[in-house]
Amino acid sequence: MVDKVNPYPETIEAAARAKGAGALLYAGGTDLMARRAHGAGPDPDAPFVFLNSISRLKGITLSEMQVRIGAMTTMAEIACSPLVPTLLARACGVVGSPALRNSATIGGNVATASPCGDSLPALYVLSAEVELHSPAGSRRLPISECITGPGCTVLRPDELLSAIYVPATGHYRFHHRKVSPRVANAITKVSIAAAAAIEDGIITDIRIAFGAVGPTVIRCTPLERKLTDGRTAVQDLGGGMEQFKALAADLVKPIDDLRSTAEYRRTVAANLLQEFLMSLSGA
Amino acid sequence: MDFKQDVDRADGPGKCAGKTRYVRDLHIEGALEAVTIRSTVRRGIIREIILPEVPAGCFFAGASDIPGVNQVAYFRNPCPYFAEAEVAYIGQPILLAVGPDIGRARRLARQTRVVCEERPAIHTLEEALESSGEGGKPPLYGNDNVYVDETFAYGDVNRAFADAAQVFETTTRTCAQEHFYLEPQGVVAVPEGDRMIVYASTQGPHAMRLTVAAALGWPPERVRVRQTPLGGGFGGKIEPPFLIAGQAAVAANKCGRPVRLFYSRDEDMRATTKRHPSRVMVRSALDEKGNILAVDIDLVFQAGGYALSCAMVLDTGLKKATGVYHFPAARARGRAVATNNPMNGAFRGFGGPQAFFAIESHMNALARKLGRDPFDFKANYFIRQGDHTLTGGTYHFHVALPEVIASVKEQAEYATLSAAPPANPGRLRGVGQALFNFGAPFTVDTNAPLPKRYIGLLKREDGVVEILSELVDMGQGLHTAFRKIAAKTLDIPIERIVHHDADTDRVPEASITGASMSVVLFGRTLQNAAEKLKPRLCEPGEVRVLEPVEQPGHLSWDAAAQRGDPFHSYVWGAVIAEVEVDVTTCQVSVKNLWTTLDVGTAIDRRLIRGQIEGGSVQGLGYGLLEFMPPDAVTASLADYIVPTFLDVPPIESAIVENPYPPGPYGAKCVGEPPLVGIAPAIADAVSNACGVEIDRLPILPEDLMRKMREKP
Amino acid sequence: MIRYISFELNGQAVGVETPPEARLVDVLRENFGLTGTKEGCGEGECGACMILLDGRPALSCLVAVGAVRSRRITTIEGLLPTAGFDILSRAFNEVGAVQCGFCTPGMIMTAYALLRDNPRPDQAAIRAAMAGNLCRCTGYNMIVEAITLAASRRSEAW
Repeated sequence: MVDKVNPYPETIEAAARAKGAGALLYAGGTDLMARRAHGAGPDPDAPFVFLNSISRLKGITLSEMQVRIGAMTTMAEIACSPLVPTLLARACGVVGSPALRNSATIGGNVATASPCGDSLPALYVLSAEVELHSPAGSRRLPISECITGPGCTVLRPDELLSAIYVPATGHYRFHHRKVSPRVANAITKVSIAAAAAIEDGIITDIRIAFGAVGPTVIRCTPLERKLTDGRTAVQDLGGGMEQFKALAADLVKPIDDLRSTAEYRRTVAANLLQEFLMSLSGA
Repeated sequence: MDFKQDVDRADGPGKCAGKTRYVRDLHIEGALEAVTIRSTVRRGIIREIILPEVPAGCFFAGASDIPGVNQVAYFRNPCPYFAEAEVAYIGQPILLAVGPDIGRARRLARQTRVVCEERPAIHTLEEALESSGEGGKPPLYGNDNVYVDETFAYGDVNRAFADAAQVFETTTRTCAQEHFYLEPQGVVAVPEGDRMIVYASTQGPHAMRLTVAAALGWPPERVRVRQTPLGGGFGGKIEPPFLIAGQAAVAANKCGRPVRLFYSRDEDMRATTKRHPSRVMVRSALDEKGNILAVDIDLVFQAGGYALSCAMVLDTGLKKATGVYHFPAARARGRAVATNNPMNGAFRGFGGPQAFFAIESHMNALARKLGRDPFDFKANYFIRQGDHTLTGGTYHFHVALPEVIASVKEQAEYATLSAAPPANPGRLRGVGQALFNFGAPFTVDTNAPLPKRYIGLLKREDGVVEILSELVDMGQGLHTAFRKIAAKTLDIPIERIVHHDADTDRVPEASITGASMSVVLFGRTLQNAAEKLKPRLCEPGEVRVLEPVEQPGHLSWDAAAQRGDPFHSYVWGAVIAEVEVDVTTCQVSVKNLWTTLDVGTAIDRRLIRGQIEGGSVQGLGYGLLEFMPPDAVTASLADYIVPTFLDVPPIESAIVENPYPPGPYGAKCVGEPPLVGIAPAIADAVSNACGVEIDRLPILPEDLMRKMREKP
Repeated sequence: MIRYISFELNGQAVGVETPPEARLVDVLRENFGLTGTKEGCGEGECGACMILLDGRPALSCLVAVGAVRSRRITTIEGLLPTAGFDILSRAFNEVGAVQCGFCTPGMIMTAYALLRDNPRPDQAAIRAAMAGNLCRCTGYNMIVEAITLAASRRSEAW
């Protein structure tokens, strides 16, 4: 019975069991409470289970070439953490408003699986993995396999997201930009997160992901391959730019909605790619 | 009292401390909570209302509970408190569900089902105009969907167009703008003995007293309105509070208990008035050299499911349609049309923002087409003292346009500003300007006796002087301005003067607070009252002075013929805007705004600065951010984008003092004017940056990108 | 389900019987009568309901009261005895940063936390920190000036 659940579980397993019994997990509360205010979201009568008593869900730790970020870590904490790759710190630093970032958690941002979730493109670019816990045990999988569609994940009813793992990155150049209807505190129309490794002026690795232009984050693998397989020199990027932009515009799958148009999102995604590539050449 | 010395507002410390009691903060023993049950269809016939079982302590209130008239009596075309047979927009109130707490009231509302037979709805302004034609949808109002259709003209416009070497035409569109006062609408109605006490966040206490009395079918004396501090108004707390006060009073009357009716934000955005969306066509007849021979303007406002105050808003906008110009001939036709959208209404600027965006965009585009400097081009047509208005009246006093323009150019260092390169690569930069005037107050018929209106002063036994006026300080600082005027006239320290929030049992009827008339008109009445009180200040005991409101003698207005001086006085203003456009996203950011305003005499420069900067940022939102679809309402602040701290550039402002003799110490108005010039100036700057003409507000990056791609 | 939830409110240990899902803003206003915390939107967009949760700005309309168990809440009423509030309040009034006042307590909460953490913020830092507090009256620049003025008068106030 959901009524019997302890609202303050002290272990991940207990929280997962409560979720399985129909309780709603309360992490930062920002999305859950805003959706309740609009009469939307999950069961309005389901009880909350508060996760802030579970120490294993908290904090950022660095070990063996990877950063573990507890699901309850707030956006504000990540934004100013020296342990986190700057790409992710920057992405988390533009989520909502400052007070919102003090409450909102990375676990919530991932598990909500919104197409405009601001941490997601960076997590895709960083090849992050998520750790999922159920009373039966835990599993780890790439974030791209965890999120399956708008608001949809592979999480089972009795499973909760306990941590995010981000591999330590080498010498990458990061790029992040969020385009929203005003400077800050607004929902994303389109965003880019990207990383590039450059040796002797040649792109050896490049990763590009777009947010809010598809049901989930769009990672531009064909474009990335084209740029790395061809051992593209950064100074030559300008020559192929129209082709790269066209490829990006083709890869994204934006829609028309109240916030913007598919046409705009597609064009801006291509322009954001151009801005990123031009920044690599230093032009 | 030296007007040059800023005076701290009396309500400032309490507001900072959170001690100011807004209507939601009042604790009223035994109060019930009400929730509005609304139409979920755009247009339809109510066939059945299926009520749930009503738990003890809960009840419904609706049209059948209204002892008086089911119409908000304040408006020329009233709207019902509760829909009876038909609904005309999504969100139209049908019933109140009332319960001991908000949870139970909401549950009751959720369990109620209204069965409506839907009818073909009129979604947009264009549909409204077409619906009277063949194959259109059945009109919502009259035969043609037009609530109001009026025309003002002078000179031979038809002849000028017949003679023209060419005709230049622009069409501009604007969308609804949400007031977004921080405090959502709310009232509490409290039955006391045989009276009804209404606590309300309202801009019109006495008008509310009359409308509530009409709803209850009572003499007005039995209703007392106590205005609570307003968490913002901007015109949005003129009309909707009348509606909800009447509803709450009817419910309170039914159950004999106090009833609180508070809107949530999304409900407020969904159901209350907005700025009228508009479409304005401006045509000018030009000779071979590009000189304007005549201007012909067709202005259409979308008014929503009921007319409310659209006649006044349209009328005011129309009288301003030719801007700061006197053309050889001009005609302006205005129509307000009915659509199945929420009602629109009063909003700071009152028809002016739509009209000035249209005329300034037209003049700026024409100057660009002719390759002329916009200031020089426009100067050929400037109104001068003694010129006649669109309505055949006279500009009686000095027109300070030249001084205002010189001042704004000097502030902006205009000569070098235009030539400067963009600060950032990947950006386009542009400078734009707009000129405007603002007529206020409206002239009331001078052929008929004025309605009795008063401003009073009460010298108390303790020597404190209380200003007896119903005029509302909704944040703009009116009470401070009034106290300064009284202090100067009485020649006593301002600390001895108080001005409380209105209580209709204590203060006489004057007016709703709006249309920028409080200082210029009622401030003068106050000055006159103070002059009468001054010689009696030393008398023992209480001394009360009641001064009737009078219109200045220079005015003439024939209401039946709509001829004469439409407004008492005119504020003249100019804005220069500097923008950058990001070529990656086509997002516009405003880098600087400069405004100069002729305010007559400045009563308090700090308050004026507050009005200029606040109005400018509302204008910036109107120009760039605040989008609502033409046939729907955005009900969440996550999607209705208002400016934040980060969207606002440095705003510099200057004042030209061009005293208006009938005003208090020469003062004119300042509340509304700062908003109207901002969006047109930003649009002009974007046009100059991007090489495309802007014809729609807000300037969305989606539209701008399309325009730039289609640019020849 | 009603539970007893205890926390620290404006320096005092308090407890309240409430469903843990109740919004903190409602509990503060209704159960404790702390009406200085305003509700402007109920969806975390406007900042009028700003409080400090363990010293950091939080939107009390988006916080369920169950989440503040054993934590520290400060509302505008809790700031009143502080020198920091006094300096901010005077600066807001002197500059003209108060109009309708409905956003003002929330503004002061956020500004207080900012100045405590960053005693001499520049304009950009002020705007960034305040970006979640909406005001419809002042146009914001006068509030930025007020916070700058308060910072310049900061002694041991925070």
